[in-house]
Amino acid sequence: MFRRILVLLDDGLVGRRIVPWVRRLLAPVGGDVHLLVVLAPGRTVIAGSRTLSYANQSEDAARGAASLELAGVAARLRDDGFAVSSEVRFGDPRAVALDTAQAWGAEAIALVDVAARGARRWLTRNVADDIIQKSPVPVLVGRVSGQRSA
Amino acid sequence: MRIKTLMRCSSGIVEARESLAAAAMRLASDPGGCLVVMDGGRLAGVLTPADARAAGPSTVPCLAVHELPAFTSGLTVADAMRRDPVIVPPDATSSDVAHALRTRGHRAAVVADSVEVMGVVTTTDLLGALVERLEQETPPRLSRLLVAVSLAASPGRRRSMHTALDVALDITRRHGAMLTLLHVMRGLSRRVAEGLPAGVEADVQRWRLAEARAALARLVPREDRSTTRVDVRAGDVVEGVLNSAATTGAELIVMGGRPGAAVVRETIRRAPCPVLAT
Repeated sequence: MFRRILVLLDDGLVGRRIVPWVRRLLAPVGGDVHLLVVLAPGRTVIAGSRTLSYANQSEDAARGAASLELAGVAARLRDDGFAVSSEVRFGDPRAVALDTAQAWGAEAIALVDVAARGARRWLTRNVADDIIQKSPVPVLVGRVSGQRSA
Repeated sequence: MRIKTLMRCSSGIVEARESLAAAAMRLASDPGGCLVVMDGGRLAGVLTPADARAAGPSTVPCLAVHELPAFTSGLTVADAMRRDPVIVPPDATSSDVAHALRTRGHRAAVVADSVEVMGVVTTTDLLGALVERLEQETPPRLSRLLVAVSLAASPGRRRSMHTALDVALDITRRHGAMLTLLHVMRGLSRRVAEGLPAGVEADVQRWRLAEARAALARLVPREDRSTTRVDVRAGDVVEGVLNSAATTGAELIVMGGRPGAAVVRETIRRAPCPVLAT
């Protein structure tokens, strides 16, 4: 059974709904959990001729906020006896998650399927679908709502 | 849990005489938050999004047209805020705060020491803490799993079926859980059904179910037979998986199949529990 699980989270940390399931799944064997937050790349904000903030500044701010949230999630997992690492990266969540899973040697990926609604459902590709399709390891998928809690 | 570990920064501080519309806009960016209201340097109340909505213009268009814009736009924070807010010290426990909020019918409490306001706690924060505590109390091991497999003859599907079954059996053994091994078979094609004599179709279907059940039973290793039950259903695959998961109270569904297949996607969207796609 897999003992190294990569948990993909988002900026709102909606994805942390899957964390209790990871905890239950790994409970009998213990294991390593890698928490990964993938954020949209920062943008330089310009008003008129003035640059209000550079991309790296907004990325630093977003990284700081996400790291703070991650620290709480990681601390609770450590309390349960898991080895936890975490990181915040920027880019396309599909590519970053698959790259990180390969580099870290993940035996499974866990994520929450945030289904788009309305027209966006047809216009945008679903992150969970793409990761399931391309992942060489099993993918544990939960939903944001309408599902029993762990 | 002490409230100082749960409190959050307020969405901001507003003066009681400020426009309600402006305050509501500040709250719109933080739906779970609340504003601390000051009046002449003294704490006057708190304003949550629900308070702002209740006092503001109607959100029902047919009612809103009867409201005088001059009146609703003239509303101030003082008109909507909760006066005499619940004030708690940082060392108060979350249950004390929840009790105080419930007793007084408020949605947010101000955390303050003797000198200054340190933060706020809303019912949303308390609910989040309650959910976390309940999740901690849940038995750590899984007790019921469902693995959906296909008995189709193509080599790719067979490989995928064995992967899913192996993963599910491994989890079942380690958790000491019960496993339901499910196969959902589609009905006879219309052309075949029409070619059969009357009354034979039901017999054929029964025979197919029995054959599938026997084939599934052969897949289960001898040492796992006491913890595995076989379930064969006919009809739509997704409906079959969801019905079986509901009937057995499955806590995890393991599915093989072609990666990204519509069946897997649809099951994920409607499953009552997480799905492990292998």
